[in-house]
Amino acid sequence: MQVSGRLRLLMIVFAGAFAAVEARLVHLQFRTREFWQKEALEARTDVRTVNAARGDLLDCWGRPLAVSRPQHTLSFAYGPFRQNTPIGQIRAASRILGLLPAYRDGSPSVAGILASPLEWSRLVLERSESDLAALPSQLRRDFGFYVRRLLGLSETQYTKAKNERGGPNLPLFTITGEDRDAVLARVVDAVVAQRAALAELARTAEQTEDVLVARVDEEITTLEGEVQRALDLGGIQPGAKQEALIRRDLEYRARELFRDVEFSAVFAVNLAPDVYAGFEVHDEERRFYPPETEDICPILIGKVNDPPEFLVKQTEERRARLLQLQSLPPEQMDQDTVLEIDRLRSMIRETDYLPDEEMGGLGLEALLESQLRGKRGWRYVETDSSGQDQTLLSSEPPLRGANVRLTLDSRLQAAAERVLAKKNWPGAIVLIDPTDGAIRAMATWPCPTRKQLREDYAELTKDPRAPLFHRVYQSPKNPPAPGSVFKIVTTAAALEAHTIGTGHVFECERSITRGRTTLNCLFHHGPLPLDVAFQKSCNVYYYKLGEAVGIEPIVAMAKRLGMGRSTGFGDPKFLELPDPSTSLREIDCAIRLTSTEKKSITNTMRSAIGQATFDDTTPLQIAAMIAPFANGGNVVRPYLIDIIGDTKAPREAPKSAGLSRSTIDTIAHAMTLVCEQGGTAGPDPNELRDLRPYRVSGKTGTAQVAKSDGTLDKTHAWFAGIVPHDAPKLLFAVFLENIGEHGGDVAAPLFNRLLEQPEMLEFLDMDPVAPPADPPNGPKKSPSKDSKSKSGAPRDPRKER
Amino acid sequence: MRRRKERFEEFDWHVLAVALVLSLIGCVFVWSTTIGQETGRFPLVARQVAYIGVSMPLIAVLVRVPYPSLARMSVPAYGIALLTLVALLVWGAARRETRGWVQLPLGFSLQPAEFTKLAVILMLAAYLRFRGPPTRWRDLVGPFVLAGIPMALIAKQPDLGGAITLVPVLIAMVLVAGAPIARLLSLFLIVAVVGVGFYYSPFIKDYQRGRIDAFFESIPEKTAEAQAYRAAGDHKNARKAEQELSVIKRQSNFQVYHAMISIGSGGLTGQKIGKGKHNRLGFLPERHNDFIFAVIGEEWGFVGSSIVLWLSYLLITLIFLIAGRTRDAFGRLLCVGVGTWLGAQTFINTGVATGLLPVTGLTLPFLSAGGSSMVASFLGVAVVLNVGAHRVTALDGYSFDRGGFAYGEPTGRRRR
Repeated sequence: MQVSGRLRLLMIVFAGAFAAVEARLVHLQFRTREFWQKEALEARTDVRTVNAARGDLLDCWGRPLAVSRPQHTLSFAYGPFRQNTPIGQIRAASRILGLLPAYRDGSPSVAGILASPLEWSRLVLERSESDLAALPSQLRRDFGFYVRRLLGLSETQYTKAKNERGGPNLPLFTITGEDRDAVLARVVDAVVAQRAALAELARTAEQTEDVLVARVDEEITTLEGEVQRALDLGGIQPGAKQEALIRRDLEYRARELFRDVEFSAVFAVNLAPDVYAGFEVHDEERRFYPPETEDICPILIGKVNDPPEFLVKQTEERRARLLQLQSLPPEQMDQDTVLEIDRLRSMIRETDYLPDEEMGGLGLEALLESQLRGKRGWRYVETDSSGQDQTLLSSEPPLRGANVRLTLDSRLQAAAERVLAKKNWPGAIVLIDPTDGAIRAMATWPCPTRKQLREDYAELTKDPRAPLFHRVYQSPKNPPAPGSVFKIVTTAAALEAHTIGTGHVFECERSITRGRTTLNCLFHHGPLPLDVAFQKSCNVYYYKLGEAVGIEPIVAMAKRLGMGRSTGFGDPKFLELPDPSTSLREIDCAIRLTSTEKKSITNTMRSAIGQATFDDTTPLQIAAMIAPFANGGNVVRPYLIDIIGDTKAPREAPKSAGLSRSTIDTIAHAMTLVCEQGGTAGPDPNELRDLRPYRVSGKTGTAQVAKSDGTLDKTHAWFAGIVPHDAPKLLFAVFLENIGEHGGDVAAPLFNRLLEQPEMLEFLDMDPVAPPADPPNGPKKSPSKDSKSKSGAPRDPRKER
Repeated sequence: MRRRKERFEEFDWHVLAVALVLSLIGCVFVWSTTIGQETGRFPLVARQVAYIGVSMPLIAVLVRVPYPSLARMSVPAYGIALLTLVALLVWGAARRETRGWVQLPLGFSLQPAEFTKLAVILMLAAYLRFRGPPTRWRDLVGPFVLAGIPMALIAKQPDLGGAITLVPVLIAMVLVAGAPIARLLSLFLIVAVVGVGFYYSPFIKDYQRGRIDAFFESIPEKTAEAQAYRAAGDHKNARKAEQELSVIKRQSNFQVYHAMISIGSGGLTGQKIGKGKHNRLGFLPERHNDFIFAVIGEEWGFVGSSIVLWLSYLLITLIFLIAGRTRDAFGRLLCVGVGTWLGAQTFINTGVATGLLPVTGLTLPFLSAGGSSMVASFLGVAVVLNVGAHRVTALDGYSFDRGGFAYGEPTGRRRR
């Protein structure tokens, strides 16, 4: 009975034990079931973002200025590197040693190990177990791991050999039973072999080995900093188990080293995983500027860079906020919270910038950021325990950014830049379509190359020549005055107000005095009719004309011709874009006229020749201002962005300036005279200038520049007009900053050089003309001078030869 | 022929049937854990079936030998077991961090500790049978030493789980042999007090204490705590709690965490055989042997895991019933030993998988993949069947110790 009772007791005990397991099953599979299901889902699923390719920037012919293309990016993860490569093993082992006071002085950088592999190998391999006794067990084990891998032993061999040899005071290299020098030579050889492999890898990135090693060291330093911060946050001692976890998380994160490495790197890294452990090459859509067009006005096209710190921080804040909201108990989850969670989640997933994402940082890349960027996609995947994707649960494909077509003609632009660069004069050339204001070229000088922009941006901002200002619509100093080019406006105002007829004569006495002010002309011209005064740019004629017309009609005319307001070609508001801080912001071109200035007769006179009241303009405005005289009387507003995606960018339709036919004809004709014999831009072999074969009409200008202290600086030179004048294809403005010469002497010849460029000739459908400097002895007698007709009939440029 | 038939009158088919059902269920789930990832020459499930196939003739042979003759084999068996354990410690190949394996040709390997348990049971049964009820303190020394030596050797491998299984076996056997319950209870109390005292003593290192704490830490509660910090906007404390949680999940309680995920996400009826996500995607560690119960929990749910659990209970109950029917002390002690061994191992294994007990690394008898465990378990069943089949013969006066029943015939009292 007693024993039977004891058997029963045993059975009851077992029944109780099994019932406890059963109760545990109930707890797990019913009471906390949802929790475990959630944990399971979290463990096996992952959201992977897929970056969208940036939209292309194209010129008006569809030639690529900036495109997206897959690039091979070389990245580095420290974890596999330290485990599998000799340099990594030495580095990791010396880091552990560095925790001991006796070995604290060593700073184990990869560069340092490469510089003296023998010393570092000895430091690691000549340690004995008793040297390490002060370390936590985890670190001792890690150290043993690296030594074992360095010696090329399996775990079994190592443990066995370690247990069989003499004692804890023997150096670790004795484990293999080989001679000390043999062991060290073997390890050093392995380091040298890896060094050669790294040099090879550096070559695929077009870098030297030193640069690659320096980058690797930089990333390791960053990593150690991150580890330290995480340890401080958790209050974790070095060597604690948690450290290993934190390290594992951070060390296996791939960090970008170089972009756009050669394809051969893919092979190298995959075929020799032992020396290249830790290095990865992966494909990514990256911004690429085709070599043919990469140096086309980089400050206008812009560049991409990593998102600024504050955006990254903002994402972190959003992430924290999302976590907070998601953790709210169900009873506090109201409608607003749910909406906010959705909003935050989609922002983090789709719109927030990733730390290594490309973001437009300058020029059009910045202005059109929201169009070009596209939308990031994501893939919600189920992975296995090693992180390999197994099943795609749901996904949102990335949305490629819109392609943007500009009105710019990259070949004309290149020609204009070439001409400016050759002279190396600070200035600008702008070419505009006369019918609707499409900007075909806008060249500025000095202009950085793309390489300079990428690598020396900080220096460029400090450069006294102000290469980051685009002189077509910006000015590093005060905006330039138009000078005599403005006489077009004064003439138009006078003719429209019927102050004078087309044949009206004023006399030029070289100077004119009003009150205490004397204003001068360049020459003593004598009595002049309007068209000759315009052709020779006689100041006294225009002082008198201005005096006769008065300031208000001139201001009104200037406004009618589109001056006094920014052209708005890159205005985010006008383009219905969000307003990024952009290098496309135009300077303010307001017409400022105070009431005292209004009453001042000398101010009116000076305003008539494009100084005083009208001294804030840009080459872009001047070129646009000429449009009515080329297209039959319409004012155009310049624009640069033609098509975004497949919709036309907003633009202002040309509208009539309300000028009479005769006014337009008179001024157009006067502008052709400027380029004829006797005009300020007339043929002159000394100035290497003969614009007649190209049928150019225009107006020169020489603007006085006042320094801030009131003294005069070197003058600006202008030349603006129409080409060809009989069938206008382009409006142009050439502006040379502080050149100290007359517009006809420098700006017009410069434009002559531009016309000689094959791209320009092709665009204008003209034949090349021999440079006018051909006869060195004296001006060439042009036969066309006699056949010059007032009607401005087209002349065959071929006759000129 | 007649005589033989008579001898097998009491052959208990139920025990064998339950054991076979369990081992077949085991095969199904071993197959489920290895779908699409077999690399070896023999698929794991085929090997598992082969082990069952090998066990059957072994049972047939063993059942034919009347069990009293086993008593004569107890000392040599125990000796061989001890020698094997010592040899393993000295020359054993390091595998899975334990030196408990002997490599065999064709990629098979043997885990002698499993068979050692049987030898220890045999030795204890024989010892207790001859020495009589251990009523005095010093009577307990013998069995404790006999069990203690192999326990220490197994623990040294190190295979703490294998050693710990012998503790309930020892206690159950001395209990059934007639040791006073009060003494056993007081022993238990002393061990408990020493254990608790040890936890608070300076001998135990902080990280070890942390591991014990981590075991008692409830992951859902800790998660709720971190969430509460987050909800309150206290990101610093939340980060800290999450970091601790991450250590528990990924390090100190990594295996059990994933086992609990598997079981918990099984629900009532599970995710169907071969379809358990956590199993199939490889998150569950040691899923074909130590944590096969978690796979059952995930793929068969509450219903399936309860069936397996109580089938195991049915098996040990049947074994204990045979013990109850056996009037001979040796046979009875053998049954109790085998029953406790299988029961304790099942309890510890399922308890670990459900987070009830700390990780020990024990197989689930009949279900886990592994030849040694399977064959040893079936040998244990064979011993029990042998006792069941031969107890009549044993009572018929076939005395194996020539001196008749040496002590106070506890079986005699049950005679009606």
